[in-house]
Amino acid sequence: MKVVILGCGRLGCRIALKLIKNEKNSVIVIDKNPDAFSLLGKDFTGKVLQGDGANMETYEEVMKETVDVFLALTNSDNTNIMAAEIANQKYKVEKAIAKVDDPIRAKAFEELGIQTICPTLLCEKRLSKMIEKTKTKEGEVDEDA
Amino acid sequence: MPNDTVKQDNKKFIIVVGAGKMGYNLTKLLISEGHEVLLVEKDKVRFNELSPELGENIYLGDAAESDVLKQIGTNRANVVVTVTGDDETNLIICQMAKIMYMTPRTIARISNPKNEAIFSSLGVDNIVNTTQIINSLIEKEVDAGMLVPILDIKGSNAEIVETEIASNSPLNNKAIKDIKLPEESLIVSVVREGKVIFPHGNTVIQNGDTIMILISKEKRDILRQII
Repeated sequence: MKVVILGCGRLGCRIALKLIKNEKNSVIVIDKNPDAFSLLGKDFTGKVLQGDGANMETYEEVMKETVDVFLALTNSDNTNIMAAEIANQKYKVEKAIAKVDDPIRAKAFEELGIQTICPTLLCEKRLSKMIEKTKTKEGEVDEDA
Repeated sequence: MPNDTVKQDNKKFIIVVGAGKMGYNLTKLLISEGHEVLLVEKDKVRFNELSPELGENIYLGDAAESDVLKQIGTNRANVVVTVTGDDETNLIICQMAKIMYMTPRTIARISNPKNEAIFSSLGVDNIVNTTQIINSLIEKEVDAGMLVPILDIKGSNAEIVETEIASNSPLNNKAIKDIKLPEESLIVSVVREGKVIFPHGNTVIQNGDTIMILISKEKRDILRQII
């Protein structure tokens, strides 16, 4: 599986390191800041590429061959959406996923056919569950929480 | 207060995003033409700089945030123009206006010409070469014989261009049926003193008219020679 990851932050880096463990995968990580790649560590065997995710030129080389998965995980919602759209529309990547922190923006672009993942929503759900399970001081589970 | 140079039915609510020089000047121009304009700027320092002059015509906020789009009344905007320095911001805001509020016309500024093709396929519905159009709006001077691209016809090689007829143009006082236009081109509209004329063969072109032409891009040079 060929995977391209835009954004070498904590998330992008962790996913890259996880995917590269499977030797059938090839992984390319793109970031506009070359210092970001140090997070990957010395043992990372995938490729890295310095480039701006909102610039079409960045993709010309790496997307030439078929890409199976494209993950846009920078800290900018707008860059991620645009990058996923480029992957999807121009390079016909079937699984192009954009991380979008703004839940409403995530929903809007989901409706437009862009696969999104919204950390805010995920956190919210998880937190709600954690709170639900909180025992009140009387030692009973609070049903209304 | 805006003066009434625009007729009431032509008055539009226009949201301009990004208060750089282009956004600022565009806003002033549109206000002077009588439109209702709201300039949106996310930088507080820049906002404070312009706020005394623009008053209620400027809003502090990030238009890419869905809450802000709601707050500023995007649902009743006729036009959303994004002129920030970021191509992706411009694109996403236009798309959001389209998807969430069905804004009739969205115009995005592009800094990187390479991004133009992708914008055209991504829902900035009228693909407009904005730098040029906005510039010409600001400058208000279109050189004679200059073709200003107005609209790219999606997925084709054709576009609509406009040009102002100069006093020395050979088209002056000619009826459209007598004009030898290049193949694959058509005069679709004549604008005279702010009024649109739906042209036919007997329409006579006059000095100062703005004509809009539907044309295949490769015929532009031939057209330039005859106007």
